[in-house]
Amino acid sequence: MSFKYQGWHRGFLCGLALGVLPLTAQAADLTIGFYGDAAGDAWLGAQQGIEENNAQGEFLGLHYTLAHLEADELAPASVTAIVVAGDADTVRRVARNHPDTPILNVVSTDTALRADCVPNLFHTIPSERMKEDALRQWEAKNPGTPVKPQAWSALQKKYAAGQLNSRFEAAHQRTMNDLSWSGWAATKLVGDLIARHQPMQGTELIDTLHMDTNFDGQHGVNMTFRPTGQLTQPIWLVDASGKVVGEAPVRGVVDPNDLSTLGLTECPK
Amino acid sequence: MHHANPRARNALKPLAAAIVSASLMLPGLATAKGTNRVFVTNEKSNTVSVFDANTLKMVGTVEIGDRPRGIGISPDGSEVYVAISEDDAIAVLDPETLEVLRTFDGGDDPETFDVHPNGNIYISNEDDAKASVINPKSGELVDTIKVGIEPEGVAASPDGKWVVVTSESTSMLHFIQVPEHTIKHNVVVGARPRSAVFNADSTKVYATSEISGEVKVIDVATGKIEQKAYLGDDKAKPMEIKLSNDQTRLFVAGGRANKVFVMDAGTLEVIKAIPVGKRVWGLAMTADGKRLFSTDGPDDQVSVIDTETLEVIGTVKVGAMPWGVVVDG
Repeated sequence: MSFKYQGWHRGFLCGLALGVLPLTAQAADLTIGFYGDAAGDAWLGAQQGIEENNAQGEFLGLHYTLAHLEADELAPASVTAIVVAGDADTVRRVARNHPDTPILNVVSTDTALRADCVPNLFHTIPSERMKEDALRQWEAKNPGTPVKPQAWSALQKKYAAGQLNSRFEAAHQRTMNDLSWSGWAATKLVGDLIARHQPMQGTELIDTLHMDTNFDGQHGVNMTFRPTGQLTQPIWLVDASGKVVGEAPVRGVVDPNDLSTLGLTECPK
Repeated sequence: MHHANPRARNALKPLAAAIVSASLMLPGLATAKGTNRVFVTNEKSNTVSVFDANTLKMVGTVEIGDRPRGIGISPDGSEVYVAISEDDAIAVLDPETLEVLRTFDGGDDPETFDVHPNGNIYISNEDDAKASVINPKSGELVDTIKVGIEPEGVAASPDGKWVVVTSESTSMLHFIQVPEHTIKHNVVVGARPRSAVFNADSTKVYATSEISGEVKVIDVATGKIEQKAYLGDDKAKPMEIKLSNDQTRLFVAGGRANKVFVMDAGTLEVIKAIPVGKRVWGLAMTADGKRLFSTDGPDDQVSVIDTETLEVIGTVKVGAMPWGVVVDG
């Protein structure tokens, strides 16, 4: 299976040209599909992102809806993107069924799924490999101090994570975890990119996600997509009580700004 | 309630004399009309440190309330305003006597604000996605304006016709018309817009985005981004931004880069990166524009920069985790 990414030169130029378009208040309704458990954490996170896109969209004439898809093949052609909360094979199938639509994997941490390098597939949840690397860095500095590597923590306050935790808890009466964070990130980053480059969808949106994502995931860093489709991000190291006791890249072991120390950075040749 | 620290008041008697002698010694810096004092909020020690902008000698420390952050000064220089985040209040400090004159409701978790030339305070209410307008004389809430998520930076234009609010989690600058309080432009910018400053004739806004690391210039009339540049330092998280009095240079607090970046205001080229203390956030300039002060949070210090030579000419130890800074004069 080979899906090497081809279109970035064209996408980059396109993105630049669109970037100078005036942002007029043209009303537009956008739908993001969601395939997976409509009662789960990922769904609630995606809902949170949609609400925040609409808070932004109100100023720009954009309105978003999250549509639950009973079966992924039922996704209408007009859908802006599809969020998938499922296992690696489900994610692969949805991406194959909708090659011209951005697919956002928010649940599967399968490292091999990143190595597939499917051009229309993006992962907001960190891979197993990223978490393993984070743990290895932590253990090199703090041997015998058990922690769990996580994408998110409901107890994190730094980097405006506290504000996102408060918003999510107020809206959904539960705490934000890895899945709700990755669901939130998926819909929010699509909204953010469209706000900058509207109007945009389909392959143009796929190209721009690869080239121009500069996402504030409320982790204190600028998040971008790797050629593998993985969203770069620090990993939080969390003790048994849920408290964040460290973050990777771990200072003193690697350059704390070097996110490439976590996970697979390139597509296998 | 925390109110005026009696020690601060007592400490003042010898001060008038000290200031007079300071001005006599340094006539070049004596043009300021105010007390020529620097006021610094210390987020972790719940105090405001006050020192002289010329001599850099500490004048007093005022216990102000739980988690002071944003700080500003009335147009006539008669009152210093301090946002007390955990007390949901704004405290009013007399810059001469350092007495806390009164406090009023600052909304939920008040953080950053600017004082409009008409005297009203425009403040961002981070958790409520709105900006509030407060008359600090009466404490009355004049108006609220709906903005994006996590509003942060606020800047009033010198001509009084505009207030810009940055919404951090909505990646947007809102250009609010005064006195109508309607939003004229919503400008989508790089991730986590933090701080903005107008030029002297209120035609341009310079603004920072913390996460995307950019500085941009926006035309006020059209709301168009005219220019954009990056600080060129991976660690730099551009925070507060100031414009030199002659309008030719921008000063940008570089956050975790531990530097103040100096940019050409015309080309947005970085002229110099001035090393200061850790996690530099706040900036303030003297009225004559000759000195710039930066709050270097974890170092519990303020760095003093000569804006001509672009060198650090001193540091002043203040309270714990200095956040905001303003100069009276």
